[in-house]
Amino acid sequence: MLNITSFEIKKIEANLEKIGDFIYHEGPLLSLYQDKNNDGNYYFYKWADCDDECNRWLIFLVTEENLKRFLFEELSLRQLIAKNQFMYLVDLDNDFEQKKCLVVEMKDLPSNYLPSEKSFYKDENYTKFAQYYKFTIANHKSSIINATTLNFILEEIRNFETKQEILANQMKEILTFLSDKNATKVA
Amino acid sequence: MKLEKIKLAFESDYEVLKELCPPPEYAPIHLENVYRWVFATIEDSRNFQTQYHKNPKRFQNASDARKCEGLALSMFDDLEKAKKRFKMLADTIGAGVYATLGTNIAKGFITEKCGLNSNTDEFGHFNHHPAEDLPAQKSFVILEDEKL
Repeated sequence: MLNITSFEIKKIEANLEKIGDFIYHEGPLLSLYQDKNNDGNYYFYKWADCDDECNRWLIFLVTEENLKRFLFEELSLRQLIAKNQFMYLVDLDNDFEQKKCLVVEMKDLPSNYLPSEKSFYKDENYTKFAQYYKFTIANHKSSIINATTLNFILEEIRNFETKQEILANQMKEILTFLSDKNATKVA
Repeated sequence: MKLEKIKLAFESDYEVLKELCPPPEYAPIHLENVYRWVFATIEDSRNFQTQYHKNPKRFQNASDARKCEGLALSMFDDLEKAKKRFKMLADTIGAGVYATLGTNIAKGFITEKCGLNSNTDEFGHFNHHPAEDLPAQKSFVILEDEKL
């Protein structure tokens, strides 16, 4: 197991409950948890490393909004991790008992522990549970505003602003024309 | 009738499960080319050890279906799909997966006597519950020109 610049704590300061596995191959590799004390906060457990005695999990906070942005392919898993300055590394032994809980800074994470830049969510790569959860969360509480919708709204605002600018310029030109005309009359 | 002829390797583990393991739809199959992720040498003991046997306590709170799955060996029926699935996992989980899932790819074959198998999924992956003397395992050789 790699030695990493970190500081050790007793346990994660959240009351985590497993929701389900997002990537599974002969065992979970990426699982979603929710903080029972704050249901807007989710945590991903991402497998990171192992030795003869322990498996090491990278555990990081994900807000509900960022979870949606991940599931709708606006953020990669790597970007989701990078949203946190600090995260946890937890070593669990073969009895599933915690042997170590480390707090680590994003900048100190070894590259081996990180997904690639291309780690965007794709339905076909994730479990059926993840696909179901994506559907559920999209319809949960307030309706989701995804990037396409947001871009459409921004474009409408930009168009409106452009139209306003054109109208203002036209008004200016008319006023200038009228004041020139009046000036000629007076003369 | 055919199923009764195959004595599976992990019968004693199946017996303690309440759910039928392997599931009833699992069947014998003949495949000339099957692939499995392995470590650098084919003799590596981790290559054909099931996840359940690597660490039974990890499955302590798992459902019987998960335990049963843990008692199977993952295989692929297509070389490109086996490589693609591994690449996806390396991209998503990180390069650390080489330490736990394997570094090389091995090719073997499966006959109807080798065990019981699930249907192949969209990733070209299927679960193989091996027969008692692990006949499929003996056919595997590492593909030297193929790296994961």
